[in-house]
Formats: sequence, C-alpha cells, structure tokens
Amino acid sequence: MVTEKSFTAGSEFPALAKGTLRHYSMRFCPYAQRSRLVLAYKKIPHELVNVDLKDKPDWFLARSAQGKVPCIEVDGKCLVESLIISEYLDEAYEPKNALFSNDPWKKAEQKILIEQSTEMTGPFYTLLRNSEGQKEATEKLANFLRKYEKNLKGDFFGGDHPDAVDYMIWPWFERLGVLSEQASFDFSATEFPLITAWWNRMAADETVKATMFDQSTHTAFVRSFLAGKPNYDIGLD
Amino acid sequence: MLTEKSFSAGSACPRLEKGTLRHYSMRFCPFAQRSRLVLVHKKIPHETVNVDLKQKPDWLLAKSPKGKVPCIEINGKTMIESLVICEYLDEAYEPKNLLFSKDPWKKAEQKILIEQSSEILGPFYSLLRSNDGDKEAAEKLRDFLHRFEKNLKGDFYGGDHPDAVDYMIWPWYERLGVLSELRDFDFSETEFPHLTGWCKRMASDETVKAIMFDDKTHVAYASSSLNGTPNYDIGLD
Repeated sequence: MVTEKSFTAGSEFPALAKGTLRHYSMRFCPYAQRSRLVLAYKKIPHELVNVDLKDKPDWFLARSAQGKVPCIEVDGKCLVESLIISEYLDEAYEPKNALFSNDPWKKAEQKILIEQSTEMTGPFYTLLRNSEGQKEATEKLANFLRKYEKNLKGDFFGGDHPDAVDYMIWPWFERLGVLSEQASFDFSATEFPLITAWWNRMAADETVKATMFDQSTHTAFVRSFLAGKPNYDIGLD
Repeated sequence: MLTEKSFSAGSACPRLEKGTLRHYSMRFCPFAQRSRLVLVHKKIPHETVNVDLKQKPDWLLAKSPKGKVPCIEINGKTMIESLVICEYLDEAYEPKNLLFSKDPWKKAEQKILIEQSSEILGPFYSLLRSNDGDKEAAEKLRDFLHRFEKNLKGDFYGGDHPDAVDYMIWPWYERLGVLSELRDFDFSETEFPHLTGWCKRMASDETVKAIMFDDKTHVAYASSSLNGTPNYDIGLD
C-alpha cells in the first residue's frame, strides 16, 4: 500500500499497476476532498498518492497540467478538475448508487447549486489569508450562507440523505471552524440555524467522517500554510 | 411568432404556452450562442425571447438571477448557466444525436477541454475593453491561442464533425475579427494554421451558419457596447 506521506520533487514515481485507479491528492485540499468523498461514498477501489504541492514531482507535472490536485489516473490516462472527476466517478461506477440525479433537469439544478457555491471560496480565502477587504469578505460570506440556508429544503440538499450537492460543497463548510478561530468569522447556530444543523448532520455522515479532519488539524495546516511552510503530513506518525 | 427585437424594462412578459421551451437570449451574447448552437444542432423546438441586458425587464429578473442570459424556461421552471443548459439540452433531447460523448471518460475529457478553453475569456475581454490596446492581454491571448493550436488533432475537436467542444468554444472565435478590427489583433493563418483552418470549417458548418453573424455586425455591436449604448437589435429593420 502506498504511503500517505506526500511525494515531493525528486521522489521516485510509485509504480501504478494496470487497471488500478489512482487518485493524486493532498490530505487538506478541499477540492481533492470532493473526489475523496465520492470515492468513499461509492466504495470505489483506488489507491491514493498524496503530493507535495509546494515542490511537485516531475512525474506529477507530466500527468496533471498545472500540477493540480485532484487528478485521477488509470491505464495511462488522466483527468483533472474536481467537479469533472466527481461527475465521472459518479457515472462510471456503482450506477445504482448515484449522487447526481438520473433526471436531466434535476441534475442541472444540482449543478447550478454546486456552481453557485463557488461564490463562497473567494471570501473564504480572503478571510483565511487576512488579506485586504476583511469586512467585505465577511459580509459576502454571511450573505452566501444565508442564501444557502434558503436553499436547504430537507435534512440535506439531497433530501433525506446527502447527494452530490451536499458532498461537493461540504469541504469549505468543514473548514469554517478555522475561520472562526483565525478570522473571527462568526459561524454561529444563532445566525445560521439551518446550515449549522446541516453541518452537524454532515459531520455525522459515514462518508464525511471517513474523509474529514477536525478543526485543530485544519487550523494547524492553515497556520503552516500561511507561514509559507505548508506541512502536508500533519498527523502522520 | 415572437419578435426578435429585445424586450426592455417596462415591457410585458410575452405569454408562454404550457409545454413550450423558451430560450431567453441576446443576439450577440457569446454565452447565449452556446445554447442556441445546441438548440439548432439538435433541432429542438423552442421559442426565443431576446432581452435588453442594459435595462432588464422585471420579469426576467424574476426568472433568472441577475437577469443572466442564456436562461431557459419550461412550465414555470427556469435554468441558467450556459454550460449547464447545454448539457441539459443534450441529455434531454434527441439522444441519438449527442454532442457530449456517452462514454463517461470521454465526456470528462470534453468537459476539461471546454473548461480550459474558457481561459480565452479573460484576455479576450481585457483586450476588447482596453482603449489603447492592452499589450499584456494581447500576449495572453496569443499564448492561449498557441496552446490551442497544439490541441487540435483532427478537422474538429470532435474528429470528423463538430461536437460539444467545438460548439462551446466557437462563439469567441467568431468574434476574433472584432479584436482584429478594433484592437489590431493579428489572428493570421501563418501564425495559427490549425486554428484558422478550424475556424473556416466551423464557419461552413450548417449549425454555425444558421446563427452566426459576420465580422461587420459583430464590430458594430461591440462598438455600440463599448460606447455605453449597446444596440441589441442591429440588423432588425
């Protein structure tokens, strides 16, 4: 089994057996967490290779244009882009357990909700990095959360149980606690009761539990990242 | 039959029959052209309502967040986002004539190409909106086009005939003449033999021909838009 430790520039390419699905990732990357969630949910057999994103191996750059994670590889072919990978995995594996709807219109509605959730990332990173425009970012993020509160009709965006929308947007919500600590963003149950309740249900979900890290781990990673020395291997021995 | 003239603020919403697919559009919008290409290619019965994007009718804002086009409506439900709409139309209509591949991996590859080709947007609009010609934007555009020269393996991205990739990226190539005319951008056969060859083939394609405008019309529209008084009805008596 491949080590969980991140492969850095100069490291040897871990041999990939024919027919094996490999997921290039980084343990704390929210985008890569999307595809990890799908892989876990659908119980898709795969192997994980974590990559040092500050010092990328050549063999990784040869496989993922721009050296992005997530990236999947099977039999010499690669795919990039977290949403595209997630949709691919959903279609190609376990069709009886689909995260995206079979109905074209419903699937489109799911994609729009996911698309609109990317409005969250801008203010999220502004707040995290303590960049210019903290006040604006706080407002934007709060407005975004309020908008999403309205979109939540049931226990999950998928109704009784999480679907593609829930999993695709989850990674940034998992990291909201870090904002509370680092940037005094108040993600409170008082202000966002529905989303907070959803958050708690998601954190109890088997699939999420299989891929999530706790707040202190996320905070430790973020601090190392902001200090310019990201520690991709936090928690490994 | 509905007028092609754009509906402005204060106009009454044209009545929509039950079961009719309506496409909210603007004749010169490249994003709306994507869905128009799919509607035409697949011969999907629909009606078009062109809207004034500077003075949007209230009823459009009620149907499409921020009054974006393209937007489709049927039986009271609406959908936005050009790519989501195109994927929806492709799946829901004429399954024998698909623009996206049935094979999940190939479809993912198509989506990645489309995603990467949208990098044209940044430099395209920077260059268009810069009064004295933005050298940096022109360079970026040039770099982008060089990269895409290399990507084209056959007559079309779809091989023998255009597929989703060809149609989704076409609208900006149709408008390169505007940059040549107004910003001195040189898109020559000598420098870009593959892409210019592809452009000629696309311009001869039945679907593209059915809805394209010539350089002169695009320049007239772009000029009116840059002036602050966009004329959405150019060419309509």
